[in-house]
Amino acid sequence: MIRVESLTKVFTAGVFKKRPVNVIDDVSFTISAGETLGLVGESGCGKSTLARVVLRLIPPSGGRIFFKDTEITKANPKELKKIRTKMQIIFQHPESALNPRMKIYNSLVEAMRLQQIANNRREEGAKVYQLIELVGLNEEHLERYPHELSGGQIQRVVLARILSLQPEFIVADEPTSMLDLSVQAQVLNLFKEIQHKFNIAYLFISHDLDVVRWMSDRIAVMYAGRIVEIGPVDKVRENPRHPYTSALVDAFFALKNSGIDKIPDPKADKLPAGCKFYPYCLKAGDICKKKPDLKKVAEDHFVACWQV
Amino acid sequence: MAALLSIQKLRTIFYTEKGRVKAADDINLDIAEGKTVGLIGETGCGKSVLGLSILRLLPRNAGIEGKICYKGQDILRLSGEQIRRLRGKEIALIPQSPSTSLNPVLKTGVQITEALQLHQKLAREEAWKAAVEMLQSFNLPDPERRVKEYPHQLSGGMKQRILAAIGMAGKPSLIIADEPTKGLDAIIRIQVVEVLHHLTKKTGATMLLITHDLKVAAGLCDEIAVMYAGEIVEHGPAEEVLGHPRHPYTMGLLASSPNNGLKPIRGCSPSLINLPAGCKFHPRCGKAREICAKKHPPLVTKNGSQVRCIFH
Amino acid sequence: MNGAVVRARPHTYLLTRLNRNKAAVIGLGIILLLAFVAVFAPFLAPHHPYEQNPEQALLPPHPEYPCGTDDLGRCIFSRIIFGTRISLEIGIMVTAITACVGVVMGLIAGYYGRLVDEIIMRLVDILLAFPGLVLALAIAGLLGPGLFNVMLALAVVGWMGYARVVRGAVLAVKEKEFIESAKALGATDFYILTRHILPNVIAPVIVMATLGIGYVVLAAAALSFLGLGVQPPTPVWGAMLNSGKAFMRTAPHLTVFPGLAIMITVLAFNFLGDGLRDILDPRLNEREIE
Repeated sequence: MIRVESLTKVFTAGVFKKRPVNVIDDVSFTISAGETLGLVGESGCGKSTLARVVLRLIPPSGGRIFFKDTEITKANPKELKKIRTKMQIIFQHPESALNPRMKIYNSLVEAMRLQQIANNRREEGAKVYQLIELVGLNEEHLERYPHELSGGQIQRVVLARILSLQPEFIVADEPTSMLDLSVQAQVLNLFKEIQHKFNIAYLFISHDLDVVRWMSDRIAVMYAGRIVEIGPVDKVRENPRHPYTSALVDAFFALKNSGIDKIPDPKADKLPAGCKFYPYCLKAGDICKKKPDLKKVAEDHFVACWQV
Repeated sequence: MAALLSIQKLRTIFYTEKGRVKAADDINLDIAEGKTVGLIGETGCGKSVLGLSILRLLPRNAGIEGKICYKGQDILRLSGEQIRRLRGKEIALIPQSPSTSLNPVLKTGVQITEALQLHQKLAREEAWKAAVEMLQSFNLPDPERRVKEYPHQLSGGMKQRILAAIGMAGKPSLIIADEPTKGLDAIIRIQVVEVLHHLTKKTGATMLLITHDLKVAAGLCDEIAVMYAGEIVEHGPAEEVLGHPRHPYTMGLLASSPNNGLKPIRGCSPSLINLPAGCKFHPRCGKAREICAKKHPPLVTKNGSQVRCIFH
Repeated sequence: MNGAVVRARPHTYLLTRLNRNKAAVIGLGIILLLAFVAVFAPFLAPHHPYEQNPEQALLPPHPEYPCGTDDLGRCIFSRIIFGTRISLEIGIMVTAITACVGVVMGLIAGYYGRLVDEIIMRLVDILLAFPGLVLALAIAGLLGPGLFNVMLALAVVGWMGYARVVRGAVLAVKEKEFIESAKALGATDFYILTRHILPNVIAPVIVMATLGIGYVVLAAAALSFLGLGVQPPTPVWGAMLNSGKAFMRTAPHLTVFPGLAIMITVLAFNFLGDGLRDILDPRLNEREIE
């Protein structure tokens, strides 16, 4: 359903000395219909930029993105608008996800109006009621303003609004990281339920490995703009092959520090040209100064590391 | 062991335009010397208010009743000058969000030495040396260089260590850590956990750890108190509370965490202005009976644990 | 912040909040009174504003002429009442024009950024480098006296402040996630600007415009005081001051009463503007506890 080929995004950093920074560096992956690809990595590794570039909310600097064999990197504005109904995004911060001056009802019908989905106001209204029932909201929420709703309720509104377009692919950029545990559980269950009902593909971004494990079929680990490991969720968790992945898995699941204390931050600038993890890696050798490609280590399991 | 801090019948109320917000109600909590007590709960349960109440750092529209005894003296009766002397020197606050809690235009070293000079009356050079030593003990790589840098040059984990050093400058006996790991990535989070572990286990300091992260609480705390809607609903040894939860809310909270299958609690937390009658959890509780809506359950002690549920 | 959030609904609480701000209520009251006076001027004025009465020139205030008469024997009170019309007309029209131009410029500069932003904001900088009133004087002098020319002159020098404020607000709002969502839903730039960005940046504009009306009334008075405004015999406060200044020693009421009218009007708009600033400030509007 979604195919991304050597996607690159370069930003310029620095006020006086402009220098290019590869925020996303040669990223490729595919997601099939009804599948969830989890994307993990630390803040600043480029995962949120990737989310936006995949949907072409930010234009890529290089590489190609396909949605069902249509190359959206080449689509003109009109085609893009049509494809947009099928590819949607949910963001992290509930407090800025909706226009604070619009009532919930208006936010909900906005998507339908923009894409001319309903034929008249009555049909529109009927659709809204269907949607809020689907996501577990009720009528009284419709006349409220976003600040009168809780974070969990807002993420439901956002989901309902997206569903009005009958999308086939949703990018979820840390949709529950700002929510409380008990509410996160509600929202994540809703995500799964919706996925099964409509056979939607997710790109699910999170820094919470537990959440990703629960949500995803496959998982991609990102470090400094590159995917360093990608594979089935349990294989990556049980048997991480990339040194960065194992550090991450240890830190997260066992609250164990495995010599990764020296990792200052995974931002792409100032890191070497070869393996980005090279300066911090305990296994590093000379060959690591060259850029490693993803290679197959098991069925469906790929790692970008010279030492594997 | 004697309690270093003893909170008795504490009630903190905010007077707002919309009504009285009972942010903390009927809080009884003893923290024994050298122990780490975790205060867990979700947004709006009043756990941060409790932390700030101890330091009397609440906004002006707040009213506090009850007693907070620290080393035998009631904090709520101290004069402004006395409480100011207590802050930092005796009781330290390690704030959340390391990125906004440091002054961005001062070198980190200056910020630590400032605190050292204030509390320990050290000379400048001594203070710098002490700052470097403290950072070294927190496992901060290359501390000599770090003290000469500005906050934006450091990662979140490093900043949190700087904050810990500032907090520890007065050699406090009680540390209040308010969500120290909120919003941090796994690798930085573990670094912060290590620093906190170091603080308590090696220096013997007492800590009140306010967090919503069950993993961090499990890793650091001796005792855990669970708060819901302004009340403590369960309090006991960490293994007991997390291993064999008794209150339905604690059970629900544990079951809804992602490593336990994400079974949600229905509904959402009540507004602190409009709390339900009886047990405050009953509208969301699977085990609730009629009586739960009428009778407000007291905190009952049983086998060393306290639970606020009528069925106990 | 961790805890319950108690927030006021912007619309329903506007009036109650306004009510609590005494200065703003007084300001609003005076403005409503002024508007009433302007609309019903012919019924309220005891005399015709143009009616000359040479025998009764320079009379001090007395029951028939509450503010006395001027050198041509016209009733100053009636002229002030009719002057309200022109003052408010200029104040509101000019402010409306400047606010609209400024808002559009600010929206475009802030939203599109880069070269467009650069061009608009440098223009703003250049215009702001001139002292406003002097520039207005120069323009009004160039165009010649007259109501329309005064308004034009004041409009040219007034829009930059709005543009700056709006641009800044747009920069903050356009990074919000709901803007990105709207893009992802296939919304056009025009739609995003009008439906999502404008409503979220309009509050400071309202405050500025309220304060701006007062400023424009003052500036218009200054221009007509210098003889560049609306021409006599039309009753204008500034021009009344001007013609009264020759008699300042012998008949101070010629200048005192129009001066008072200007002061009260400007003060009223300033009171209301400051009150609105407090009310519309989002930080005060969404008061968080804990």
